[in-house]
Amino acid sequence: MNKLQVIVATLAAVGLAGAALAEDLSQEKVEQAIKYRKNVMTTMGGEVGTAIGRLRDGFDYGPSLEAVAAGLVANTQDIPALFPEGTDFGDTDATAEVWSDAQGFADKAQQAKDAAAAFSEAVSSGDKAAIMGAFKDLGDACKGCHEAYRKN
Amino acid sequence: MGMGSLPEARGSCRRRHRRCGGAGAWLLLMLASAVAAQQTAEQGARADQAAAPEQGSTAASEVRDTARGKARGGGSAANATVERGRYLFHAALCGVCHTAKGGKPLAGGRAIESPFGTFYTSNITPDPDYGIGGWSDEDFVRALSEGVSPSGTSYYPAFPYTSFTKLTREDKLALKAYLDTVEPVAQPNRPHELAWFPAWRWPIGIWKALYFHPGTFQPDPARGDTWNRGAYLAEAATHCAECHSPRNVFGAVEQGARYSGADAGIEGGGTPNITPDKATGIGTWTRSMLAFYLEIGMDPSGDFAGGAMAHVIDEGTAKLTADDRAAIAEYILSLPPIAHQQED
Repeated sequence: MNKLQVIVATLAAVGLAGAALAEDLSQEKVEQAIKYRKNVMTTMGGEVGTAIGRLRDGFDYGPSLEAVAAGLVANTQDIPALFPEGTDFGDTDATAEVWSDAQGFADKAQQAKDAAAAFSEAVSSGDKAAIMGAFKDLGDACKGCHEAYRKN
Repeated sequence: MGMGSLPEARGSCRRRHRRCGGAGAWLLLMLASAVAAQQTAEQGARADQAAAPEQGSTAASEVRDTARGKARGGGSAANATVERGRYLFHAALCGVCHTAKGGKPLAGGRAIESPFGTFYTSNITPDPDYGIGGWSDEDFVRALSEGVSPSGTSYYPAFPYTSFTKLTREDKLALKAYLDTVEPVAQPNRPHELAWFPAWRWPIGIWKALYFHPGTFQPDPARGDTWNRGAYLAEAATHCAECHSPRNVFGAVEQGARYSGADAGIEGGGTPNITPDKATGIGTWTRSMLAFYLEIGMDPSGDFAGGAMAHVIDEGTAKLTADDRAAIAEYILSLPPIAHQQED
């Protein structure tokens, strides 16, 4: 092995190690991104569950319906941003269509965003029937997206 | 190797593993055939019949016209039967599996994933050539009761006749009356994509002898009407246990573990344990929580159903009466709790 070969081999080894390290780091980032996404989704679930506690089960303590609706508006602002490229593998139930059918997914996300805004408006109006109707629409938006883009 | 190839690699590995299990199961079934020689002979004869061509389309359309005439021209009693059939059609979730994603209603072609390969559902519109338009009432009743086609071929239990056999004869006929009224679609059935071993149909006869218990639902006189209504709906119509139970290597539901969730659902992923076990099932749900879930798809944590279960709710349980959803909830929450942690 001459000097040049040693240098090339060393550089190659360093390069491989560096690539492996970069992959590990990005894998960690992917896992964090999936966990972050799940936390946002779970928060929304909690908000929806809290809303139904007030609307159907008649609880009048805890956070106001206005606050819950505002949270839903905030959490649905940009759902596609929660699904960056590369976060399709790992502890996730997202289907491949989230990325392969990005436009369809964005449409569903927009529906959820609109439904959350409509729910918040209905809550401000105080009209019980309108609130229930808007809640049902919001639920349909959640379910419609999960139906197509989540495994279960 | 790029990261992008990892999921595929893992996927094919899992598939391979499953197929191996399936191969073992099928070879064992073949061994079992020595014991069940009689059924083997009988099924061999049935398989031969299967190769015979289907009935001619002229005869088929005549039968269909007769059936439609019965449904339409018979006055209010016939209309009531069709309406009863429509309700049962939703309860039995026929549309969930017999309609492909983006496909024409009930024309079949939806993929059913299994460890044995992928099954494709059949066309159940009244098209005389490609659907079930040529079927007599008795053909239809026999398909649901015994799991055999009009030509005598056994169906794979991916078609849950193991549950539908429990429907009353009257309800089976009502379902047929309703299906006679839907739009016919001339779409041929897509062949199943199975590994070579389960592609043989004759072992299904042995499978049936071992695991299929034909017969209509028998109410439990010790329980109330609501419980019995819920049991009938869940066991005979909505067939919850077909997806929510683990299956043995032969693909049969493990009777002692019914409703405790499965590793391999029809979309490849697992299904949750729905027995009322507090830690691993839905034991912390009240009846009204479960009934509400079956109505709008929201579970007590505020999460909304997705995937196949979202279809089940939209196409099925959401269209039932509130009383029937409450009855199903009463029945499901009365099941023996089974501790079984299931990844979904």
